[in-house]
Amino acid sequence: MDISGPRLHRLVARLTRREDVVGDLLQELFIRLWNSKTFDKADDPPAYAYRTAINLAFEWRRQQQAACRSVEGDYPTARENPSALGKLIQDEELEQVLDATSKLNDLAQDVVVMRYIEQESYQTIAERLGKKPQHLRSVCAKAMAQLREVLTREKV
Amino acid sequence: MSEMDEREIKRRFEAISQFEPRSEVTARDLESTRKSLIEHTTEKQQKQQDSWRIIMRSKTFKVAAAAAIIIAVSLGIHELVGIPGSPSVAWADVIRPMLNARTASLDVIVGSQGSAFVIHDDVKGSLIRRAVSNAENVDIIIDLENQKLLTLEHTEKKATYVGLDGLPSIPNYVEHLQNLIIKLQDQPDFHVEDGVMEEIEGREYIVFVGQGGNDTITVWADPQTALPVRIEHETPNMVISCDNMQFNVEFDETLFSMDVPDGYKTEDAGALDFKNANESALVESLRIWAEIIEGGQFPDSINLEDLVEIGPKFEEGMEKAGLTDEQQASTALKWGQGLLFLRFFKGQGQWHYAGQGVKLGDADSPIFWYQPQDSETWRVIYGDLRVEDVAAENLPK
Repeated sequence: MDISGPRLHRLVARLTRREDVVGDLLQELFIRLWNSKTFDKADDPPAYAYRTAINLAFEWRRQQQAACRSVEGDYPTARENPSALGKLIQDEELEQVLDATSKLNDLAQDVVVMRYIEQESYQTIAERLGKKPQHLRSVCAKAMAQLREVLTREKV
Repeated sequence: MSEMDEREIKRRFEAISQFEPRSEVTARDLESTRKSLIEHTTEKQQKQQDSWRIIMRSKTFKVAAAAAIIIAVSLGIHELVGIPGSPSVAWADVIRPMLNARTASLDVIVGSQGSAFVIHDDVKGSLIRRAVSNAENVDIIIDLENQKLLTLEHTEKKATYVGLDGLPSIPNYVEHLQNLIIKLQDQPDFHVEDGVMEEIEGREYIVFVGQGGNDTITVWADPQTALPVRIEHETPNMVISCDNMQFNVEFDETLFSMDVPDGYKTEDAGALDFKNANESALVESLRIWAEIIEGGQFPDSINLEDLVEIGPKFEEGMEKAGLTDEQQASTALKWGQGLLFLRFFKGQGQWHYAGQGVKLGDADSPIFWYQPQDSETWRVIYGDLRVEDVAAENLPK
């Protein structure tokens, strides 16, 4: 926990964007890992923990979406509104992209988060996930197309 | 409709990636997670301790089934070193203390570290004095040569003999270990990876990994003395570790006495029959497991390392079934008999279990399959407990 804990905490904080819920999710994450026989046998335990954290954060997002559907509408972009209102709009934009990411399949979620939020190279991601970099490029491209489609639809 | 472009999505992700939680929040959350984990671990260990206590204290369970578990999960280090290997100088240095040992003291851990129970063995020739973690005031003395086990419950002042009929001949425990290592080292497909240093709890150990067939053995040794302190043996179906190993320990002879101490009440609990640790025994064990222990469906796991959690269910199931004391004892013995088939598995490769969620009587669902020695086909047990020969290409996926 001393080594991976801060990194996992930051990751969950980024994906939830809610400091007040990170503590509870982090506790749940470590209890899941502690109870997991797969984690015991994982070739790369930190990578396994990392992927579990991503799943857990998006699971939380999906629950939030189900509990409180966001109001739909065609909003102006934050860049057009550099004010307090702009900040609110930007927050909403970030929420939208994360909510859309939560609808991707597990592998696509992992790749998108590692590539664009954690800004890791395809080579590093490939090592963590045990897959080939070119395969992950393809997964990422498809995921981006799916995100474009979802976000465009939500803007209608 | 305005179309969202990829650059905009990336811009948003980049904005998300800039977020850093406040350091005091991170510190607070990590601390509360640490506390929560400690509480959870304590609860889990308590649950395991309770399970084990029930196994040992249950009137009907302990004498036969508990003996089966104790024998089944680990007979000791002579099983543990059953892996192929051949000597290199460093490997030989580490193995030598084992080869020359007259006595041994060690902890045997079945399953993963932290989630398993620990068996402490003192070994002198063909005699083993065994204590199991969480079963306070209980000692077990196993006489391999005379195929007998004696359980001493000191609080209740009770002694129970269990026969180990047909136990594979092991005339001298330490000699057997020595012969086995020598034999294995002569095998042609031996290879050992050695020389890696690893730090455990502030001390450095040299680590050797020997591999052959389906087995891997890892030995941690003191680099100064070459004495092995830990051995881990991984087979396709289970992991057994030996820890805190010491050799040529001077033991008090009375520790290994098979005589009942003065003032103890003596019982004879019958015998486990190793000669009949066969497929039929397993089928009967699975039937008892589903019908009595799990209320009509097969267990999630039949891994030996999960057995310690079974105590309360077994107790409840026996009571629900309304069995007499004699029937309960007989049922426990039959159930334990099937475990011996798993523990001393003699088939090719590994066995497979897929009974999770399958109801007893489900003729379409395969729950267990294995390939007997010298057989080209596999034996498959279905949910209705019939057994069929199946070609490899038709095995369950």
